[in-house]
Amino acid sequence: MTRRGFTLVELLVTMAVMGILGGALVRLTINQSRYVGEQEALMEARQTSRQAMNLLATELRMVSDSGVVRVAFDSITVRVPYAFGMLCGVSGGARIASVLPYDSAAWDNAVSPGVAWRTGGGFRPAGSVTVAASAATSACTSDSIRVVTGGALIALSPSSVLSSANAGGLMYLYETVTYRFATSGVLPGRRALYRVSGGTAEELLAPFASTAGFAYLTGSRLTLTTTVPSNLNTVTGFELRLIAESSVTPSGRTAPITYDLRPRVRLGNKPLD
Amino acid sequence: MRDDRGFAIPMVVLLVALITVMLTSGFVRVRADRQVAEGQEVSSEALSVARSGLHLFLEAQATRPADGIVDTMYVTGGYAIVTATIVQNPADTMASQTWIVRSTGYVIDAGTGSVPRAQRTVAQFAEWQTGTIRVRAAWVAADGIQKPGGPPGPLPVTVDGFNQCGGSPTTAGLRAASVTGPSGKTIATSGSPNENLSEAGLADSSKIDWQSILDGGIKEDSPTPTIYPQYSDQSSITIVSGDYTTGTGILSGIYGSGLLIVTGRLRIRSWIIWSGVVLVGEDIDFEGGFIGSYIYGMLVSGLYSQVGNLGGARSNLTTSHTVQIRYNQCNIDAAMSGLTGFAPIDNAFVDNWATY
Repeated sequence: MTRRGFTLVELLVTMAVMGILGGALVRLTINQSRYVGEQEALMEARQTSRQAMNLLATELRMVSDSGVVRVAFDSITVRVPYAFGMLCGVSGGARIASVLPYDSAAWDNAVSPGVAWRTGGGFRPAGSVTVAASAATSACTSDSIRVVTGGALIALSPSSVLSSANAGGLMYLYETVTYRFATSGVLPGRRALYRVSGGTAEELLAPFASTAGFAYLTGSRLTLTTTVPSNLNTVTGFELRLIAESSVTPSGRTAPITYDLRPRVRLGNKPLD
Repeated sequence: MRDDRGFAIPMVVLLVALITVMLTSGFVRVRADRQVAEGQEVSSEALSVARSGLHLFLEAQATRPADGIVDTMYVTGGYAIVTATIVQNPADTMASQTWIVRSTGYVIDAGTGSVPRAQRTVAQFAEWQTGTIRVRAAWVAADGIQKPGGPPGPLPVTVDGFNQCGGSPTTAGLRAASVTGPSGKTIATSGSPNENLSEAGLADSSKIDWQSILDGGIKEDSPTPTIYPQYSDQSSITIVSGDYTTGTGILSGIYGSGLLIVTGRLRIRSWIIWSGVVLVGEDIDFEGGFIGSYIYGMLVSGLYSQVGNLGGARSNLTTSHTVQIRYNQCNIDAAMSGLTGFAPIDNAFVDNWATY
């Protein structure tokens, strides 16, 4: 049996073809890898933006009159309601209130609570109070006020902060919260979104671009402005500039991928007039 | 024959497998991202369904529901379970009850069966308005009345407490906190009693919650009285915030029906013809003329004294033309019928609250 090998020409042609195919394959693989890397980075940034939007919008939507305390490009401080109810009379030096069922986690985590009561078509913050459970039902029943199923009776002291509020008026307990973009502790050199309550700062999400921040919606037309309004009571909402970044710079790029999400949130319990 | 055993097929298989793995990996990531986005969309839909269900429920209640009522409202994209509970039930049956109405919205996708894809609970404080008003007199002048000077004689003013449309009990003609001016100037009053011209606490005894009105507790159909409104709509509500002064021309009067509320001073420099209820925060001054002024229903002035000081303001009767204020229970009932039902309390909305 005659065994014939490859000729030199056959080998050269084969090597050339394999070289071309191999090169193309490597290029394809690299491009695909970069594309996947970029997409992953974009998804990560998008995820960060969306999570920030969900966290902020849920709390900001409940803010009412005089609920905006301070604003700057990189931070806002607001009074966030966490329990609604109705004011009753005074018992034992404390103002009694019947509150609706509340989120127990929000209740437990609330630091330095304040109380606001409804007057003139909107809510007015009355000041800090100490909140305790109460059994003084007569303070409410005398004004025909009930405790709804799952709700609670609470005592607010000192009662003097609510001296001008009538029994039967609506009220809510609030927590003063600051949302702030600042240097991240988790990702050094990057910016993070913090939630500050009662002097304790909690890093929520990172990383964000240096352009992430807040703009303001003012008046009944929700006019967008980046200038801090001289009268914070004119702020009727916020534009959240949630410009998030990927945590790593994808291969082939010189900077992290960014995702620019700018939802507008109206303060839902603030009159527009 | 040559034994040619190539490796093209293994290479192609390897290449295809590699690309498949990469594409699959990409698709899985994109799908996960899409699922997150869809989750957020569905959550927003649940909020929408909950809000729509709540408003449908509030609008659907023509008669007062039972305390703790649970109702299902079907809306596009799902349904909402709505529960309404009384929070404050005043002993005074004329006063409004305060309710908390909560709505849990469920998003349903026909393609995935009856299991809700998302749910969300919202709540709204609302008042149940009785649509009734306490009638203490054809004209309750809680601000007091100032009669004009001049020689003695009857003023062209008639205040009549006999029910024009019959059937209902007769009420008083005129109840005023005080009447000042020349004693020789007289107002023609009739009713049961004809008049009480020095009655204290009139604003409070009317049981009209003026603070609630100032707080926006009643929604108007029209922000200003006009000369020719839809006279046929006897349940329309017109609210003027602050003072209102008519022009002096013959075409500048107020002509209409229903409930007219002026939170400040109402100055009639021409005329008013109104069938229904007129509530004035400060004084109502009849100064003009042409065709006279006629209020068929009831008039209450000086209601601001419930919440503040009127500063000595009194309703004056300087007009030389006819003024007739006559009690008409039919017109009052028609005017108040527009207020029966739930009225959401402004800026008292609870979002994403604990499900209870």
